Amino acid sequence: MTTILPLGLLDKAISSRVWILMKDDREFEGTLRGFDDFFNMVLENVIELDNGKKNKLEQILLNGTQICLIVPGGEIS
Amino acid sequence: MNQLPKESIIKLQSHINKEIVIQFQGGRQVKGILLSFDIQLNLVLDEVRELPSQRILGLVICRGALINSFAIDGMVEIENPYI
Repeated sequence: MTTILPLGLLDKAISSRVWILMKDDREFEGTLRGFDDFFNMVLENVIELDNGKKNKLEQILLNGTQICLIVPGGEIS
Repeated sequence: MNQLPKESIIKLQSHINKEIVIQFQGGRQVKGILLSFDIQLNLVLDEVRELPSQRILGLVICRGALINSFAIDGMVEIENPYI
């Protein structure tokens, strides 16, 4: 029975939409272009949710130290 | 100086497929079924609900670096014993 590791699941999510919840109350939703061992991520066509305010960003490098949860294929709800 | 064993003191393998409640730094809490984990304590959880809002997140990767604690046999809220 193959179990999928966390980084393996993240690798599978490359090129699809991911929903990221930060340590504080911010959330990001974007297309995952890549990531590294520290969970720093490159995202495209990003929607940032910050205190109820939505911002659109074309391409960002998201700092992995604050990333709490990653939902592959998810969207901000 | 005694050499400490290189094994992890946390035995997560026995909690696979069980529901756990995780607390993160910053105050987030989620509950979900543990599917897998790695050496840095990053987790894959299924059927995840955020607490206390009960917002459904689904299949989720949790970053081990921000985990404060997890509860294995559930949590029960009690009255504040310090008042």
